[in-house]
Amino acid sequence: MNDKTEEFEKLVELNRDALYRIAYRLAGNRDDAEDLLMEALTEAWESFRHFRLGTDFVRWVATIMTHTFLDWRRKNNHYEFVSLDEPREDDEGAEPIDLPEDSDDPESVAVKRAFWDAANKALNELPPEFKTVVVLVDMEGLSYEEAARALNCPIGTIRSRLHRARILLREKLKDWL
Amino acid sequence: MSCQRWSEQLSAWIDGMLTESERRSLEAHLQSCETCRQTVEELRELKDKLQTIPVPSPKPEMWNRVMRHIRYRARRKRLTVVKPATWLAAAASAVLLLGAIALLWQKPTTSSPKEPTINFIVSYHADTVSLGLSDNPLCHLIATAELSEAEGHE
Repeated sequence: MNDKTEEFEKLVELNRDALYRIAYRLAGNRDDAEDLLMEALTEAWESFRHFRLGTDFVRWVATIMTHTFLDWRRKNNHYEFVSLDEPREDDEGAEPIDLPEDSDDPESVAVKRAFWDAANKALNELPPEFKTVVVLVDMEGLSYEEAARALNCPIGTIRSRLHRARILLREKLKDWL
Repeated sequence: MSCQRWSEQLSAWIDGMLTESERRSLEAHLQSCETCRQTVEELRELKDKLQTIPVPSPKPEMWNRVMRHIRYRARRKRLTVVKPATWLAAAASAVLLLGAIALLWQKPTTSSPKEPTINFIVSYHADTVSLGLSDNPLCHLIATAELSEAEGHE
């Protein structure tokens, strides 16, 4: 293994939780998140000479990942919603979630799970360009400028897409607000 | 005044992304518009709640599979990259080979019977003279020169 590969693997190792989280939020389930990570990280490795050491590796890979995700969605419009509670045939069981500490109350857990399911479904039903902006800005905390750079579009487009995405989500999740 | 005009600014206001003049205008509108105030509250709550959606742990061995895949692609890419020196060696070998073939096909000139001629023989015999590019497969074809007296032929 050469120095470049070692450096790359070290950065992946250091940031793997954040990388997986973004992949999962974009893809919507563990299987697709794994495929998305593989493809985006392979592309990141191939472009690693363009990465400036000392800058934010996660945001750099997140940019590649969003483009990969949008390419997938353009090529294949089919998108499957996977419930967090229902096991898939090709899975070992329900996708395990680490519940927050105040999860002792079963009723509160059930309400939270129901909201998460509804929210994931609503997110997966958004047009991919809208979903990407929600994931980057609302869930990953990128600024409008960073999201605009990641998606290679003007800040005004981010502002507009984000608002329209939120309005759509508000309609779908009105029972929870 | 229609709320439609303000709609897109509500999200940007929540995120602190309005210009000073936009902010002042919108805040003046919010003072008098219950509908927009309600929308702002719901959008703010939505944003907060989206951040609470948990991410399940990855499937077992996922990172091993991902890293194996990247190493495999990296190895494959390295193998397909041919260094310029290799191309140069291949080109030089091709020139030599073509030269040898050209000489082979050249008909013997009508030389005087006493003048010696040179016959090039392309062979794989062990007693050949290497052209010094033996690392390249194309150079395994060795040309040997055999000097013979013209008078021996006639």
